Amino acid sequence: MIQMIHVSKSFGGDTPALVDVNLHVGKGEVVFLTGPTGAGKTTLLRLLYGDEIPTAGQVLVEGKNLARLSDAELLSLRKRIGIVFEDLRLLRDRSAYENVALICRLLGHSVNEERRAVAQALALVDLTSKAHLPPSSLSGGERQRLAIARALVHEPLLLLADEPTCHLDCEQSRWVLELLEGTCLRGTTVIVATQDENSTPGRNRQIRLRGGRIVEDRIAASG
Amino acid sequence: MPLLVKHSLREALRGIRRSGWASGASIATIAASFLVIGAFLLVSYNLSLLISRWSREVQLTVFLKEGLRSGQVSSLREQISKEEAVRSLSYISKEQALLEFKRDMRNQEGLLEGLGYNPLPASFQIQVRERFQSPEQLQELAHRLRQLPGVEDVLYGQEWIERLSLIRKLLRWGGFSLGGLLLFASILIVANTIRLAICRFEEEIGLMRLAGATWGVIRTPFVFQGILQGLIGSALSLLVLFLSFRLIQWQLHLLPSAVGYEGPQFLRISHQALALLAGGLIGGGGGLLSVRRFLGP
Repeated sequence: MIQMIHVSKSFGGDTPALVDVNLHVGKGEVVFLTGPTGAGKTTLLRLLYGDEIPTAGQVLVEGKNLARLSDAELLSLRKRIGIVFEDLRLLRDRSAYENVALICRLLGHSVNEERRAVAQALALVDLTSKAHLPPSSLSGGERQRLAIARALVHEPLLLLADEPTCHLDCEQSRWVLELLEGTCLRGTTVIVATQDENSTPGRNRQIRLRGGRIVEDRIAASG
Repeated sequence: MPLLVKHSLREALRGIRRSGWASGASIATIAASFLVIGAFLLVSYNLSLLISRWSREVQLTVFLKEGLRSGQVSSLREQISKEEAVRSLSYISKEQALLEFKRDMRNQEGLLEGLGYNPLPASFQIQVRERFQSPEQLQELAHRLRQLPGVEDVLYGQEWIERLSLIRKLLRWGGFSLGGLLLFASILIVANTIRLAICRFEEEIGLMRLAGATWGVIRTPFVFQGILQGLIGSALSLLVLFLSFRLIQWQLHLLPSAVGYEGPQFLRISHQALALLAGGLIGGGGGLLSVRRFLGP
C-alpha cells in the first residue's frame, strides 16, 4: 500500500525534517508513528497525501509515485484518503453534519447516499445527537471525534491521523485509538501519528521517529 | 454535472448570505447601473414610439409656383405619384387653400381680404409610406421634389422629427456610455466581493483541495455567486424601473385612457430578458475574473 524509499525532506533550514526514511506498510495494516515534537511525524504524513514532495527518494501509494502524478491523479488519490489534521480544520460556520457531508458532496454522492454515510459516521463517533450543532458548540473531545467522522465518512483506503488524541483525556484517547484501529477491519490502512508511545492499543506496529529518522520499527506489546 | 450545479448553487447562496454587506453592495451597484441604462432606454424607446406614431401622420406639402397650367399640374401629379415613397396625394387648389385658411382662422378672415388677391399657393398634400419615414429619407424625398419644374417649395415637419431623433440618439448613446461605465465598475465590484469571499473561505478551500476537490469544483460556486448577484441586481433594477414608470405614468396622467392612444410603454419582455441575461453575464464575469486570478494552481 505504502512505500517510502530513501525519503528525505528538508525545508531549507539546518535540520532536515526527514532523513533517509525507508518504510513499507501493507494494506489493512495499522501503524503508530511515535516520537517527540519535531521528530518528522507530520511531515511524513504530509508526504503521504502529496501535500509535500520529498527532497530526495520516492513516496509510493498504491504503487504510484506521488511526485510523478498529475494534478488530477493526485486529487483522485486524495479522494480515497481520510485525514485527521492535528489542528482539526473543522469549518466553523457549518454544522457537524455539514462538516462531514462536505466530503460526500465532493465525491458526488447522491443525497440519500450522503445522508446514510454521514449518519453512519456520526453514529460511529457517538455524535448523532449533535449533528445540527456547529463545532464551536462542541467540546474539545467532540470536535476531535467530528474530525475523525469526517475522515472516515467515505470509507477511505488510507486513513492518516495526526495527533488524534491530543485534545482528549486518557479514557477518550483509548476509545478513539481503538476506533481508528478498528477501521482496519474494513481493509483501511491506518497510520496514526502520536507523541504518546504508551497509549497505542493492541499488538500494533509502532515506528518511532527521532530527528527525522526511523529509530525503531517493532510490533508493540499488547497495551 | 447536475450534482456539481446543485452543490455550486447551494454554496453560492451560502456565500451571498455570509458575505452580507459586500454582497448587498455588489447587488446594489449592479441594480443602480441597470437602472440608469434602463431609464435611458425606456425614455428612448418611448420617444421612438412617439416618433413613429407622429411619422405615420407625416405629410409633405409641395407648394406650386403661380400660374401653372392644368396640364403642368397633371404632369407634376404624375411625376410625384411615381415616387415609391408616396402613398397618396391630393391636390389643393388656390381657392381650396383660401377656404381652408378661412375655416382655420375663423375670426381673422379679414387678414387676407385687404390684399385684394389670393396669395395662397396651390399645393399637393402627400402622405408618405411608413418605410420611407425616417428623417433622412424624408429629407431626400423633399430634395427630389424641390427639383421638379413648377415646384416652389416643399415643407414637412422636418425639424421636430430631426430634433426628436437626435434626442433619441443622444439618450441611447448617453445611456450606453454612462451605463457601460457603471457596468464596468459593477464587474470590478463583483470581482472584489468574490475576492473577499475567496479570502474568507481560504481555510475551506485548502481543506477541499486536500480532500481531492478539483479547481473546477472549488471555483464554480464563486462564479455562481457572481451570476446570482448579477441576476438579483438586474431583476431589482427592472422592478424599481417598472414601479417608477407606473408612478410617473399615473402622476402625469399618461395612462392610455387619458392620452387617447396606447400611451407610454414599458420595456418589451425581450428587453427585460436581455437585461437579466446581461446581469447574469456581468456578475459571472466578475466572479470569473476573481477566481481566475485568486483561485488556482
